[in-house]
Amino acid sequence: MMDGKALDNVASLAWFAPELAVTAALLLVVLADLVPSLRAGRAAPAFAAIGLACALLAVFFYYVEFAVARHGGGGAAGGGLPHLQQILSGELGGATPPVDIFAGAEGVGRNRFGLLRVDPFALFFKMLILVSLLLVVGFSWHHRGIRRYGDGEYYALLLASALGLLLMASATDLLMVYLSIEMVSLPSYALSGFFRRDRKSSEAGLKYVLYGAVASAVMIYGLSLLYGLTGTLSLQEIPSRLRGTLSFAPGLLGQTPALSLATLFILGGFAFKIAAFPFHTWCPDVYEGAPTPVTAFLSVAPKVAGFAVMLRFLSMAFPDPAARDAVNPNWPAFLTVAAVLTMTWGNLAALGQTNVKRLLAYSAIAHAGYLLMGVVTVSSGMADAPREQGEAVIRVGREAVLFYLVAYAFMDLGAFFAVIVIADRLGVEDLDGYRGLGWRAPAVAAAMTIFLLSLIGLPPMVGFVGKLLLFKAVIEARLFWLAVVGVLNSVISLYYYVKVIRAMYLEGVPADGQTVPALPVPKFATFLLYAMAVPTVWLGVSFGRLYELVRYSLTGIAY
Amino acid sequence: MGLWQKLTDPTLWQVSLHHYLIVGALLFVSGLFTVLTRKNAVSILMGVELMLNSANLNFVAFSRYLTRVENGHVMPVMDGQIVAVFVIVLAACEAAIGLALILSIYHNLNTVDVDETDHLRG
Amino acid sequence: MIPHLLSWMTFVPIGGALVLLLLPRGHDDVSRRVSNEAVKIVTAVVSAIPLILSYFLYTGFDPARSGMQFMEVAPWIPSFNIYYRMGVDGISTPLILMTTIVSFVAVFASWGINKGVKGYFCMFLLLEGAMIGTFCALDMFLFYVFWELMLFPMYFLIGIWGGPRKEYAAIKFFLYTLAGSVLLLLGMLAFYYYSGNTPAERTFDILRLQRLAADPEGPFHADPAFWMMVFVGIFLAFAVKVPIVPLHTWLPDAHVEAPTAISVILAAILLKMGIYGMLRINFPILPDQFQDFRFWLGLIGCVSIVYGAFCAMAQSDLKKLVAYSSVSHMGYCLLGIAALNAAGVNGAVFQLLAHGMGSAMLFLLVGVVYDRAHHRQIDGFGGLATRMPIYAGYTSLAFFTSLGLPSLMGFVGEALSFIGAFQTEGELGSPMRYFAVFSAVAIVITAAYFLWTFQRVFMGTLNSKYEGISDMTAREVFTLAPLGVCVLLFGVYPTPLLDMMNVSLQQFMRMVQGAGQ
Repeated sequence: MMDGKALDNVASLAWFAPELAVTAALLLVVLADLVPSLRAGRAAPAFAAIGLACALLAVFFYYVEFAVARHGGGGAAGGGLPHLQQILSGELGGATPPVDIFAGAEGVGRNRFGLLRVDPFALFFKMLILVSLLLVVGFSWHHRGIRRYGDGEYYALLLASALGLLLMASATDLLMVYLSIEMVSLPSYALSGFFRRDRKSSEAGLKYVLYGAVASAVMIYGLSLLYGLTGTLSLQEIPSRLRGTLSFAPGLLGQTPALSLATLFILGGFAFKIAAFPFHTWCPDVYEGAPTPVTAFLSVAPKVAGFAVMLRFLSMAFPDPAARDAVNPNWPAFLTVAAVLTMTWGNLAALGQTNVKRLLAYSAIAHAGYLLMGVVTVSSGMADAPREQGEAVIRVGREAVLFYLVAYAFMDLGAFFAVIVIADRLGVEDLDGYRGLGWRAPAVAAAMTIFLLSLIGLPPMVGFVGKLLLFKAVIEARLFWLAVVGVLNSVISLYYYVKVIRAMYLEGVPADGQTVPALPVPKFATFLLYAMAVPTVWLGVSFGRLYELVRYSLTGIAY
Repeated sequence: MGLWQKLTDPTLWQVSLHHYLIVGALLFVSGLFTVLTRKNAVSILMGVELMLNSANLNFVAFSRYLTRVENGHVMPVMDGQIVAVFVIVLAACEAAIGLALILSIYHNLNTVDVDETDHLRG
Repeated sequence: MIPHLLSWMTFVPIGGALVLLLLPRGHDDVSRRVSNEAVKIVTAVVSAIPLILSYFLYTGFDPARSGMQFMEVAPWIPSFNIYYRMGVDGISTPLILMTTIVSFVAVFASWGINKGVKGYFCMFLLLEGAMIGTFCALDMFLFYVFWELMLFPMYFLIGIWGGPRKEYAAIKFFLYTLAGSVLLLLGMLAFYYYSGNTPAERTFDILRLQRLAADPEGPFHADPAFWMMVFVGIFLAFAVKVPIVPLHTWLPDAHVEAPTAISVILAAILLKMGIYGMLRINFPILPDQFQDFRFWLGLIGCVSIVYGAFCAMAQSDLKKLVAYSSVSHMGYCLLGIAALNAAGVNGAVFQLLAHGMGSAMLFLLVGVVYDRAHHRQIDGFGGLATRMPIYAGYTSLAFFTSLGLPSLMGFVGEALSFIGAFQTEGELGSPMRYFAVFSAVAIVITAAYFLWTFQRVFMGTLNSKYEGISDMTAREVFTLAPLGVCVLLFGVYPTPLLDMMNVSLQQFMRMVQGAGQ
């Protein structure tokens, strides 16, 4: 292991197993689609699930390698299982140097820093992405529409997207950032328009591709400006370039405004991925129109990866937010505005919704706003504070973001899966169709209630702990007004989440002595629902270990 | 200095980085304008192409003017030009998927006007 | 002495709720009826356990000791210094005793529920556990978890089993309370952040925060303007629950729509949470701000007393009348605390108990007549005393304690609060005396509306519709008896309760002296 030096292309493959596993699964799915007998059987989802599971296993082994083996004084890659106990008990190691991979062939030295970085931060996000993708595969397994339009294509697109997501979590090069984001977007466009003969679905696909293309064009323009200002594509090199003289010095715009403009454009591209202001408008239409398993996928995986790439970008390119000795783009200001507008807009627009899918789409926007609060825990109030204190506050914010993403993945996927199950059984997505569900399908309604209470942020659900950590971070950054805006938004959100609970339990109540026909729910669906509901409650009661995991995962990042 | 002298000053007509950047910015703005004003989905995609190409122009221009010193030799930096190639490829992919989806909406609705595709609203 | 007594009291009901979920549901009419009865019996047994345990709490509690007793501490989330800390003192012990008694009574008041029985009693037990937990919790985080845990059972209990406008009432209750409690959350985080310089020093421990407040150099004395903001935020969180005028509007709606037993719980216990939170968290941790705020506290108390009384007088619905009388009665507690002398504070806490018992009786009695007449219009009755003598007797007891007749429990609380307000020392003495005088007007009004109501319902000629109305059944008599006994007993002989709380309240008064005094 060469610490501090990027690996060449061949050596890099040892750290590339998850991506390779997903690629292999993708090829197998495409090939299996050509064989009629395999197509009739369920080869495609099986390959997809196996590929994702293998990737998850590989990521886990890498994580163990970082957390335990390397810290404990060496040992080759793959010394995983004996240390499982250590990981589970939360005894994680100290900081270990990251591994940079794909730096080109040895000797040529085109890129001294590598295109991708493998560190606990990236691996944490990869685990989360792969777990949510496995759940999405589970949701899609019995979905009739997807089987009708063709399994093979669906899972191939999903896996292609998964590959992009994994790369997003690792990207440390501007080109890689752009390519990985596009690699997620392109299959997602096709996925949301997957029901070709369905009006809503193709409309969703069209809207997604148009908004996405504009957002990516804005981002690449920003990246081009940043490249011109710093003369490098490597995120690692940007801070030193910002301290030196910029390449086209007394120039077109002046350095700070130019850098601010570039940063603003790049953040715009990220905002599209996480569905934040000003690139949030696609979100409700696409979520409503797309096939529901795709909606579940879109609401979680790209958002998680978007936060990964955004945090990586900010902490590597602008490691010192106070930046007294360098040109300073005012990114906390941009993101604070975005956070406030995103959550307020999302929550207010959700109030009037009657379609549950659309309601959850607005809620996904609002949650992006909450999450952004954790990114901006740098305030002018901290300017006179000692640097260590400022760093500690930023770190607390990032911890909250990572924790909240885990919470969000479980509760949001759960809520969407409940929507899928209900739509499959009753054929409705409208609030009216949910009337009396608490009596007809108690297991589904109870799970949905758990997810909704968690989305509101009520204890003892994990969503509460996530919000607690976010508000704690915001208060530590002394952004009191932001905390107040955040809690007011939580209160607003109560109203529309409770509308769903009200429809399920308070309306359509059977009269005394009257019996209602029970809705048969497949065992597999119930199992999957509770596979998400149980962690939603359990992590809310006992979140110590998850927090330690999150904290360790951030050791690799500057702060 | 008279106007004639100004116009014939060779430094004025020497193409510099700034000129490329200004053309790039104009291209970007006109692309954005197209995107915001056109209702035809195909036109919007064309606007996006303009925006992508403005970024490409920036990348290539920056790459041309950036240099790197290695072992005492001044070496050109090729990164930007490589990025431009990738962006061209991705632009093609994006256009392909975009057109496919436009085709599918045309089959369903017989229009590619984005104002008429409004079945999804809340 | 039973080890982990408080944990048992808290978690037996919560565990019981889970057990109820596992009981089989009937598939035909007969088995469903059997299953419903089984659910009710299990609930009665489960809620009897905390009642029995509270006897041990009562006997084991040493009123002469200051500080917390029955302490239990266990690490919960070490990364944030969150501990599972339970303990009781002289303020919380009587409230817990009242909670177990009233909850047990409320099970029998719910016997008539026959729709979604399992869900109802499951939510009921969850609520009971959360209420006891809130009174025991000594860690802010734990307190907040229990505090919020009371919300959604209450939402369902009102929203599913309530009256015609139940959905509106339930969401209103939920929104008001949540809006308050998010402010509590922010305040709690502010305490946490300023309680130490490094994450290892920070704490959610209520007792440690109180000790930090006692230190004049402590972090809570540094920036008075900021802490005033925090104080007001937390005060609002608790004030919504009390409720004070003008944050009281959720209360009449919730009371009117809630089923009888839930109205009882709401009035007798949930309203006490607000005052309890102020006494445990708000005032002792920010004593300087409390001292600055006392004038406003007295004013709010006075306004609530008078406004509540006038509103009650204007009501034609029995339940609404009782609801507004609650607003009025809770005002006495604020007035007594604002006085900040032995009489006032003791009176305030005693008033909590008196109102708990009195309002529980009132709501149960309204339920009794509603079950028979299916309406609650005061003018729709008349002359019921001839047909329902036992009922009339109980009602007169409840009315008299509520209007503060000497020798009943309500009198002790009100009188002590007033005496306290009159005796207020320092520069606040003169405004407090004005508040007391204004509030005294309300006593007359209270007496007037209760007596007038009694007259309209029980006296005069019998409304011919209720010719065949039956008197209270044995179950109803049995349900009301413990409350009636308490009201009489502690009205004549309040000393045991006052002794129990005295030492802790003296400690409270020392804590809130603040840096200024």
